[in-house]
Amino acid sequence: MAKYVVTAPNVTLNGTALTSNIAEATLTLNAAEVDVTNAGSNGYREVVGGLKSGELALTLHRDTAAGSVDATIVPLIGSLATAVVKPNGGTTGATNNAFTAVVLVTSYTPVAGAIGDLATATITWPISGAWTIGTAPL
Amino acid sequence: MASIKALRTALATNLGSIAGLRTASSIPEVVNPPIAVVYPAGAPVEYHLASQNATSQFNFEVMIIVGRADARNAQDDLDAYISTTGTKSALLAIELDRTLGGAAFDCVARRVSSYGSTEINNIEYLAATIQVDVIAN
Repeated sequence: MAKYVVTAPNVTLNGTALTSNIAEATLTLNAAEVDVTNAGSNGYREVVGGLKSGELALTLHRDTAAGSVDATIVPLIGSLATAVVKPNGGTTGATNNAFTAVVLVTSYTPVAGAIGDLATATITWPISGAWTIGTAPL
Repeated sequence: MASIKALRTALATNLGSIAGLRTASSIPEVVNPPIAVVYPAGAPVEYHLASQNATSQFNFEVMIIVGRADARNAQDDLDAYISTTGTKSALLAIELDRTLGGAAFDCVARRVSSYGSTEINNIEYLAATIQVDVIAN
């Protein structure tokens, strides 16, 4: 697949599928920018990559059913959890990599929204440690 | 994906809990007031609210037709149907079973979007329209 319209981001948290409740998913992978500018830089700034980090941001349709969103996330607050994010559907492959990372579940909003709105929760969790990118079809 | 027919049928079933109010889950050729007619409206379906099309929003209107526009009690009757309380409240009836018998995640009556006379088969009736949002997969 080349260019595509986002319709099917696939997200699991500690093995629990959240996909059908995902309205938006953003996985950001970063490297810190470390300045190594010196007298030999000829007036230009030089940088190298430093510590790597990242974060997972989700907008979820809240669901209070057993085994669904609330029941999965609330017990994890303050804990590390393994997130697997795939851009476009559940089948891992060369064009649909599986990004696996441990995230720190720092927050969740089990009550939010104006009267008449669809109940949603927006979270941003930092990645702890290394991430991996899987391409093997599952 | 939820069946639109199943959703409007379930909405009509909810409205049928109002004693004396006829319901129609499809637009009838001839109306026999008082009647509540359920039909898709506006932008009838908004797809892809969740990944893998797991959630969509279905928009319906419920037109409540109470009688000839010049009938003496027509306005009193219509007011009862669009009130927020009372045994004839369409709001309470629509939201009586918000899962629509399990066909939806939730539904909510948003607003009364119109109120006045409407012509059907060359007869002026008094009618009001209620907008209803249904969240389903």
